[in-house]
Amino acid sequence: MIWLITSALLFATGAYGALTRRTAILVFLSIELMLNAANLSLISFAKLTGSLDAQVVTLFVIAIAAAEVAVGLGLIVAIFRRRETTSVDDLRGLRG
Amino acid sequence: MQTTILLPLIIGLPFLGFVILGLFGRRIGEPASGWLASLLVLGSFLLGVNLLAGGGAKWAVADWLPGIPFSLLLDNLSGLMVMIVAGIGFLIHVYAIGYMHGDAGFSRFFSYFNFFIAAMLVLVLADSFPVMFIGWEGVGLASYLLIGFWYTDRVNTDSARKAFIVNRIGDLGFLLGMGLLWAAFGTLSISGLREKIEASTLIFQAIPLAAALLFIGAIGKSAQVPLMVWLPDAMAGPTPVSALIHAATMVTAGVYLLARASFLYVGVPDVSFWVTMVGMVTAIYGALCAFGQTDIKRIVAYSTLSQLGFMFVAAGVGAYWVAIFHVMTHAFFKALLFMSSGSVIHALGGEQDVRKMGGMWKYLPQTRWHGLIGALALGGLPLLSGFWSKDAILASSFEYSPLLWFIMLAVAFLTALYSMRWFVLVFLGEYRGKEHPHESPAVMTWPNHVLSIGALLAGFVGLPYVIQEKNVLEPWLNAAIRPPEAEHLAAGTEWILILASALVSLGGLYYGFRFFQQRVLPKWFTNFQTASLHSFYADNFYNTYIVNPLKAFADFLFGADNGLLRGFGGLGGLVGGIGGWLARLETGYLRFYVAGLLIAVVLLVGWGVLR
Amino acid sequence: MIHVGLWLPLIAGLLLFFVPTLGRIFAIVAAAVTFIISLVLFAGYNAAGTALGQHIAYASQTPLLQEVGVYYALGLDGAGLLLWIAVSLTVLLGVWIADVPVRFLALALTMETGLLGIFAADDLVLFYAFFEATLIPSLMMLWLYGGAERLRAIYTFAIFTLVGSLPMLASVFAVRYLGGSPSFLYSDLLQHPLGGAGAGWAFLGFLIAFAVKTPMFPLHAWLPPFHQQNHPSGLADAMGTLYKVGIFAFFKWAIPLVPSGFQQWQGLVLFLAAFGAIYAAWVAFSAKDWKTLLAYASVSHMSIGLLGLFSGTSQGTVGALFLLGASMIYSSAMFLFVGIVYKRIGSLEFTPVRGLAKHTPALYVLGMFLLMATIGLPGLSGFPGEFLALLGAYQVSPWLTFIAFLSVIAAAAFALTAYQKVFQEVPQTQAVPDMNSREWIFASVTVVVLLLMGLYPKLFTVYLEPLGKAIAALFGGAA
Repeated sequence: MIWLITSALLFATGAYGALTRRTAILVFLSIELMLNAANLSLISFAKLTGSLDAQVVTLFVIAIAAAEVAVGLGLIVAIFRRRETTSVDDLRGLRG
Repeated sequence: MQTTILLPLIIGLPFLGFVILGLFGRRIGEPASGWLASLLVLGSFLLGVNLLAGGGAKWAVADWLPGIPFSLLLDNLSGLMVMIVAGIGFLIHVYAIGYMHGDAGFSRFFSYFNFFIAAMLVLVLADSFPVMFIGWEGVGLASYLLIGFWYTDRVNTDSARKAFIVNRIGDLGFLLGMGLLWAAFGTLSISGLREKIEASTLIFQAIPLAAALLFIGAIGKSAQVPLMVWLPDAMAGPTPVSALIHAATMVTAGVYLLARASFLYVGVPDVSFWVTMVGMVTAIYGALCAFGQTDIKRIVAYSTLSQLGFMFVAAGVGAYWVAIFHVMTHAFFKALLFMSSGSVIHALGGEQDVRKMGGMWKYLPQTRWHGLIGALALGGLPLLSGFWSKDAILASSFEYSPLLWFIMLAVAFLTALYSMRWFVLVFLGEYRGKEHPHESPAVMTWPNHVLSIGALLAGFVGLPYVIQEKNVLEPWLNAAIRPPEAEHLAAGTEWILILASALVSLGGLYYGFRFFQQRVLPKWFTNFQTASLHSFYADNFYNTYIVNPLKAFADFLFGADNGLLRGFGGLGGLVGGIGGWLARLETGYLRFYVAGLLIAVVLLVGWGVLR
Repeated sequence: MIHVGLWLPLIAGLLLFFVPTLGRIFAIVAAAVTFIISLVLFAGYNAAGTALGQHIAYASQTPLLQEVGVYYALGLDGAGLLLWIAVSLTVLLGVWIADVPVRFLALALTMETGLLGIFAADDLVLFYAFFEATLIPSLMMLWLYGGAERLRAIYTFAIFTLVGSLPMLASVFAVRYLGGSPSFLYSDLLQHPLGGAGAGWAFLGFLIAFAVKTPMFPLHAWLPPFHQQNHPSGLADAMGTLYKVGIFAFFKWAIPLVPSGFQQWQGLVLFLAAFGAIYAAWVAFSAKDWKTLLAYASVSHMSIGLLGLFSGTSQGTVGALFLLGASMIYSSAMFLFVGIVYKRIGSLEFTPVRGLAKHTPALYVLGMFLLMATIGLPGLSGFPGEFLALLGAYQVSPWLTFIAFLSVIAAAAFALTAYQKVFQEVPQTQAVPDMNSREWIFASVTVVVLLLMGLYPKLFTVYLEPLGKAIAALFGGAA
């Protein structure tokens, strides 16, 4: 149970960070936090129910998260090269 | 009555000519293409006569359209029409070889001409209304093509277009009539309908309206009031066209329709009354308009209008065989009149204004007789063809109502007058132009010789019963038309009527002969002529009150359709506006989106939990 | 065979799009083979049966998403068969005659598969997929090769089409789940027609989508800009004309699946169709260029077809389908003809041109012929459909029929007026060459086909008649 609470706190921290930070790297970090919070809750549920399925899923998520990090950071680097900034407030190309 | 493939061949021959001349006409050249076209029409004529002698024929393709056969029928009525169309058509074809000599579109002309004959034969041979409609619109198209034959002149193309559009107004009536007949009877076969209606003692409610709708079609095709405006303008075409289409054949299609569908009209006196009225008004109108015209062909055109009115009167009073009788005699003398007009025009190098004619008696030793015979037959000189058929019409209208008889007699008087006006202005007096008139070649005069014989003698097949107990035509045609149930007039009345019409036409011819030879015409007459020249302003009336408003409204609709309904203004604009408003939600701030995401998740999960 | 015929144009089109060096000949051959396949299908067609769904030939089905009942199911009923032939013939003619970049031809071929799929799909979801996918090549043609104001036209076209399609998607699911059918297959859906309260709404969904593609007044507004902005060769217009499948879609899907909904909306549609017929013909009179004229003319024709179809009678249905097939051919041919004229005088407008006939007598005759087919002259292809629609509609509403058929007068007026302006009167244009051999071939094929349809409609109506009777039977009509 404690693990679930931890996971929730971790998720909340991540969400707070993603909402308040301006630097793309930090936003990205916060998102990773949320992701791992989800992983954590999966594992704890696995422990509670004694099923292996969730652990398998977690392994998958970790593997894919690694790839995702690579892509995400690559994007940030590319954006920095072009725009000389990583502040997400400056990147408003989608504004309607 | 035999079923034979030879029947569609009657139509096929001229159609073949149309295709061949249309494709290879230029290579065949002049005059071979003209002769080819003429011979094909002659072939149709001979084939038709042969089949008719064999007792008629029929032919059909079942379920040509679902429930509607493609059926043809050659009985006495359609047989007579085939003889008129193909026979007189052949003569006019031959004439046209001379008339169209040297025209750049020689082969094209004969290709159209053959097409017209084919369409007209479809019309008369049809035993099913939709099939008749094929011919019906086909002759309209042929007429359009031939009126606008010299298409580089705007006047001609305008006239052609007008003819087609006005015809289509009538065609709408025809179409709706077919719709009604189908809804009421479930068949459109003419003989099938006839059997159904004649066998039944019931009164079908649909018949009066169906008859009226078909009558609208007849009005359009036969240029009756109020759809008469196209016929005079149709004179823009070459003269053989006027002779063939706008005198002898196509315009009589309306009369033919009434005769063919007489079983519809016999039982509905209301509609027949209107047929009579329309015919009478047209007869008067045409006769009055004929006085003021200065174009040699337009005079004859208005006389055609008037004579068609006579035919409608005959059909309206129930004397269908008389109407067809007049169709036949009229075909002879009107074709003759047109073709002698054509010869005069030919002689004068294209001049059509009667004010620049006169004195042709001296220059045209053969055409003068053609013109004289034509004018006298039109005017109803006793013993000539026009006299007998017109007398038959007058007699039957007397049976209907003496007042009608009196009016038609007055119109017959006018007819005699204006036919003399035409003759006097063209052939008598001094020549008022500057050309050197010359007589037409034999290829043009010989058809006129034949037609002259017809115009002289054709009336003897339909003599009144007081002269010949049973004439040739009436029982023959009544085999195909539902005969009227009226009794003959008493012999004494009949003789008085014959005498009256003879006197009236003689008087009219003589008075016209004298009156129009005066150098200065009375003032009242010239005033009347001015109005008559403009056809009593019917065209102006239509243009001002119908055509122009319709055009203006089309422009208005066009603008409205562009502005209101389309793109940024209308529905598209609405969607665009909503989109623009929604786009403001897209601030571009990442945290805005993330917050939205989170709030949505919370709401969804919360809803799931609390539900 | 049906699968080959369906997918061949797409494959050929894609190949040609990415390897344009294959050239025009490749496109012609592909279109010709497709057409030949359609003739083979025609020759081998035998489907006897009287009820809808029983007379489908070449049926085949493979599950795509078996769980929800979506199949890759093809099959041709009589109407689908004839329209299939009409499409493949028209595409062949278009590819043959149009002077356009090779990629353009490739798009046309790609689009052909979509169109054929619409007629052959026997699964509602598959039908929907084809119905929507066809939009893509059509938009691409407009986007890549359209005129200066094409963006506006694209915008309008796309909005009308897409907005129309969404309600239809809802209806697609409604007829399956509310009707209780086990799958989206045509035959299953026919067994479970949707009735009750939802029927009106479900039909409305179809109605909006199909009315846009008919096009029916007042949802026709996308059509004039679409044609005005498309490439002057007329190929894209011809393809767009083929895309007007609304009548077929009503006939095959909307009406039999939601018959009670049809009855609820019948009156309104009949009224709009009758009004649209005369309205569009009237507006066409004021058109200043060929494409606008033809756009409105086709709205007018399709309204007549709709009038026949929504009479719910056998004749009306046969007439509507016949008219649809015929108008696909003659309207497309007319657009291509306009393209031929454009090639000579560089203008689609009426005003600066006069007396073209002097230089191009053969073209003059071809134009006359096509115009006459367009305005429904008996003996040519436009007439049987129009006439049967009239017979059907008259049984339901004489007055609306009268209003709608006022358009035959208006049609004569607008067609002949335009024709006179361009071809007749005193020649004002420089001498231009008459038809070349390529155009002669185009002309002869078109003329023969249109004559055949007009003079011997029986050849085609026998395939449509059982369908018409089946539709009439839905509403208790005997014939």
